[in-house]
Amino acid sequence: MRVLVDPRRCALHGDCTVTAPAVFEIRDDSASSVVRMPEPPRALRAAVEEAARNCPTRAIRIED
Amino acid sequence: MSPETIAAARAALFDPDVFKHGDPAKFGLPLDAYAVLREHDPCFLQEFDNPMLRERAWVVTRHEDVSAIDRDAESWSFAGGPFLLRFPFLDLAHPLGKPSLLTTDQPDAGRQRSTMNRGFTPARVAQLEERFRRYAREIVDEALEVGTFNFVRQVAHTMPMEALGDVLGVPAEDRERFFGWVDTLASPFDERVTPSLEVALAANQALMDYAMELGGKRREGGESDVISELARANAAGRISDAELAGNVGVLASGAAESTRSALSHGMHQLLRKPEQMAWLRERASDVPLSAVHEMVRISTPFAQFARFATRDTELHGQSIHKGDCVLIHMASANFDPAAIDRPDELDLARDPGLHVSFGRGPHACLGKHVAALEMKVLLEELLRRTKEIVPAGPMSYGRCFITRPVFDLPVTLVPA
Repeated sequence: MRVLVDPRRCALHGDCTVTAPAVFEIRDDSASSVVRMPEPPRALRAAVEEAARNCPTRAIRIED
Repeated sequence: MSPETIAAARAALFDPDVFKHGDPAKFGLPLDAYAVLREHDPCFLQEFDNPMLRERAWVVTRHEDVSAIDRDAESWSFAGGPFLLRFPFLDLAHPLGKPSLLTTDQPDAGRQRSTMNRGFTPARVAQLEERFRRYAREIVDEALEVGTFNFVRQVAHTMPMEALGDVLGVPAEDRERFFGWVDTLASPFDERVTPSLEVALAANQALMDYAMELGGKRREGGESDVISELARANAAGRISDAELAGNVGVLASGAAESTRSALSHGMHQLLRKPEQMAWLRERASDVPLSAVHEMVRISTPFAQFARFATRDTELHGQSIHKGDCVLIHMASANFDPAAIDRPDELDLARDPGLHVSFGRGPHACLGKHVAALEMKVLLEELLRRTKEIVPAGPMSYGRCFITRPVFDLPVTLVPA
């Protein structure tokens, strides 16, 4: 599994950093959510899928 | 299902007295009417004969449809404003109308949002916890001293006013009147709050004047609050003067009343459900996010939002034309059993990701993480410092079908 955030779509809603904090992060200077763990382990899959499903701007993509 | 039953269900959604006399066992909402409409009449055209409201709107009640429309900002525009009610400052056809995040589509909505959203990210909001906790402690200190009081005014009103005042950068001495103007605007059907249309218009004017004045003062400073960020974006030419005023109005109106409603409905239901109160008390050292979200679900501080079709379309056999207003009914969606298991029960452990109160699309509530933290911190302080919270008289709801005020919730605190 590979996780990508489209910085043109992301509007810093930040829900992904609450749902999967190990994978997504918004730093004070970042213009979009940052993927800090691009290839998360299987155990985090459900949380990442939930983050992608609920992203208000559909900015998260998962590639297998 | 008889036509009379369906007509009665439709009427219940927009009758302020139905809400004023709501049944506490049903969270004060016409849940039976929602169920009838979701099943038999999931998209209908409603006419309104009231100059404060839009003339007509399609009403959509199923969770699936509400979510789909909310998430699809290309097919469903914000340009006509977000509410059934024509708030003057959100109505671009009104002399007091100002453009803002809530009257704008892409790319303008993104440009405006990007001037404010940094102050609302979870990481930035988490840094506010100690300040929020200090406010919560002071509020609980004072409440314990008074002993018996109206929870809505004494506690639920004060917490968001102080916390949001901090985030927005409204000076402490101005907060009561700043948020007071919004209260006057937001309750046009309740004479106890808004005695006349003139009073509401005066409040609207005062809010816009104050927004311009405060924005003007903050253009130069280095403060990190949201109004200062807006003011600097204004000084740099990234947003107009009118957008500065409009967005300060939006921040004020989205902030205080909604959190107050969620806390008040939440506390009221906890008083009715001792097993849920006990569950929460066991977790008072770290109130789970699920509990906060369940309170936001059952309160649904904004019962419905407006959108405008950007093209002709069809929904459940109804022909919706480009420009038509559609009301996505958040309160009905939040109690749709097709999306939420046993929706009529308060369940503080429920999956927090299902309700639609904050919105689920690109226009989702900017302050949702602030609201969640405020509520969590206040509940923690309140539960830790009390042995028991008991009803101290009859409660009453506000008279409105758009926002969801609790008017009176008398309680007595028993200190820990």
